[in-house]
Amino acid sequence: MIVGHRCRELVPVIEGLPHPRDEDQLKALGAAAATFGAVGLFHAVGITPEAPSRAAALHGGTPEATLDITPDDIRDALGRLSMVPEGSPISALCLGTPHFSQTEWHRLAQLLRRSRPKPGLPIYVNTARATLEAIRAEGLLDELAAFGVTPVVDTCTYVTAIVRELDGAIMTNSGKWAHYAPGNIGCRVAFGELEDCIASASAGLIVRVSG
Amino acid sequence: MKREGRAYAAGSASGLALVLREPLSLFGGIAVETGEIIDNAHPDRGKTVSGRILVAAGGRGSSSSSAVLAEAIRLGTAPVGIVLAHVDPILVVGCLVAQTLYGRYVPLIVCPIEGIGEGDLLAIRCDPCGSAELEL
Repeated sequence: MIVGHRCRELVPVIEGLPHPRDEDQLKALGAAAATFGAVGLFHAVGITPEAPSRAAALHGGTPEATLDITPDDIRDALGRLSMVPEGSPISALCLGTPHFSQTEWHRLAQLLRRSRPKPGLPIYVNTARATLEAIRAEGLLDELAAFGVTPVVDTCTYVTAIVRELDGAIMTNSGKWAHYAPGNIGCRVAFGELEDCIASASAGLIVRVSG
Repeated sequence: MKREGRAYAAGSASGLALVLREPLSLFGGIAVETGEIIDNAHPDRGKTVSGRILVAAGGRGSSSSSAVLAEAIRLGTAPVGIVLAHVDPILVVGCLVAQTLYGRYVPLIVCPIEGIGEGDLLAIRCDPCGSAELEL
């Protein structure tokens, strides 16, 4: 969100980004940066392939501008992404914007096994049909269905009339979803890490467990 | 006063400037049936783009905005012209698709936007060859 807002259509070279857990975190950053700005490409020093160093990412040139991102900026961005306070009831989770990868499906399954969601609270997960077939072949889909997981293939839940639980807040781990859903489908949104989403689904209320 | 620019979509138009305080994703940002800005977080929420010359620093967000713009042009709810300080390929594609599918021309010029005020009367002329002029 911050990168998109501040960089507009420029190509940012991000320094100091913590080493990502997996490529999916970079995918989420790219989607949010393109949602809040017009960022089509970003480099993260020491992380993305064309940025082994700051100088390499800039091709030896000097940046047009250098912007600092402070902890206050991050707190402010998190506050703007979440429309409802902690402790508010939630009626559904919407995950998978951008589409869930196989790795993300595996993480979701692990988290759900540890922390069972409240019965009747649906978890919508957008994914590509090839990815869905891959996890079906692994036998994961049936197990996840028992946790209330509904896969949504080849579209996003913020553009289609799929989510029925629009009365309470909906929690998502996607900055992109948090931005588009209120305008498109008229819901209130809470934003958090996937761990927060699953813990909240278990409690039926917005709780934060990630650092 | 005349200002030279570059034409990204041909056509000519005149109308009152709607100067966006920050870039807007048309997907999720306007109601295509009415042209009203509906993005909850946008400072210009509630204004209507229809019939105006949309002025912005650049584009933003979803590539689905091309389809939203083309559909708004078809419905007559789109801006009549677009002025950007930095080119946005998503908006350009929307204009070009509307030209091709519907024969409707919403010109898009890229030129400096300093000094353009909300409600100023603007005229745009964008030639197919790429030269363009903004009059304010």
